[in-house]
Amino acid sequence: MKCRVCGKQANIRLPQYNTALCSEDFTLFFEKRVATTIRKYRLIGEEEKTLVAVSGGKDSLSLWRLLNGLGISADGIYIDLGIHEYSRVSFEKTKAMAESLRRTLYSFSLPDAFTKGIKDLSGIMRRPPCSLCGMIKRYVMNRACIEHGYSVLATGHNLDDEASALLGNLLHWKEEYLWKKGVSLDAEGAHLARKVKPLFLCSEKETAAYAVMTGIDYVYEECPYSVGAKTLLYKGLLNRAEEESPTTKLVFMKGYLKRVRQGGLTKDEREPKSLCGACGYPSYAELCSFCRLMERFGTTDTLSFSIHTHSPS
Amino acid sequence: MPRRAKSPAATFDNVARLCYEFAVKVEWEGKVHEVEKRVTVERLLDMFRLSREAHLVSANGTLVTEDHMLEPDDRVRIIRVISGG
Repeated sequence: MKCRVCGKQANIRLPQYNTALCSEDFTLFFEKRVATTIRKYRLIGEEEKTLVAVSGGKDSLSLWRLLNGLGISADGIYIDLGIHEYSRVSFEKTKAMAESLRRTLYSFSLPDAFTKGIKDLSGIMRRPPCSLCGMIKRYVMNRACIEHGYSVLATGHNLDDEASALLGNLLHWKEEYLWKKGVSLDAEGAHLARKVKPLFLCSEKETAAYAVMTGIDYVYEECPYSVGAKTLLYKGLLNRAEEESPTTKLVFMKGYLKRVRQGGLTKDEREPKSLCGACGYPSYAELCSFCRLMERFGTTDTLSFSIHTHSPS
Repeated sequence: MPRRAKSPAATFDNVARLCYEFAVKVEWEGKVHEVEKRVTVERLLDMFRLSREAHLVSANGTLVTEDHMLEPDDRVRIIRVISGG
């Protein structure tokens, strides 16, 4: 199979675009696609301070490097979930990327804040690890943005992540979540930073190929608590459909974006209107979920919040 | 399903050595498997019952497309691309 652009041996076939590309042309193609997504959906403005949510995986590390390569000065934030070797390796790879980019890395450690990792907290709170992890990440990353003056939080969510989440919400008719699966979520007041997903239209296979082709050293191992996650089931179903009918995932998500644009899906009225009594960030209740966790398990100083800053050496 | 690589002790077995002398060695999830004949990437993924959308294959450190023929000397690795939770 030959590269559609230069005629050399192709390194990846992209049935959804009816093409095949060599490493060099695929890298350019991928970077251009992300740049176009950022421009088309006005994700990151000029001079906007951007923070990238980094896990050490292929998506977030690729995004972090790519944004800086596109001239967007982006720092990173990493959350140590206390998953022993997995967290240690993830953090090492994240720090290595921060050094190579010469960017600041912020970190928050669950074991430091709660003396427990995500697994123990999950058991005590009787909440699935993925659900608790999502809540903690959303809170910490948003608060880091606000407190350190970043107006945009960029995450590495890709096409497969978004399509599988949307499929899951549709299958269970969770209408209250349907409006928030877009390319960006607007900032609200002084307490919610804008969230953007520049890899929204890039499939997980494309992102992985980009990471491999550009030599990004990412954590290959899967999070041990994701075994049996419904997301993986939905991704599998969508990939079976994609193999039989290329562009299925793209059509699914572009159709979704069109409906959001036309106003067919609107924000849930139950979104929090009050602010947490302890931290002052948006909350459904008197105390937000994170502060309730801190109140119950916070160690030395209840409701203390400590984000470490690692500046490039 | 492809066969797992023989243990070092088993390589002294002449029969096994003759049979697998030309096998393609494939690394998948930290284990080395042997595929007994030259195969394309597409066929390899079928043999392992893996989705083409969810996996990449590299030969000698370079990604290859589904029609690529894998040779016995190639260092082949199957890369899972799906993560989630």
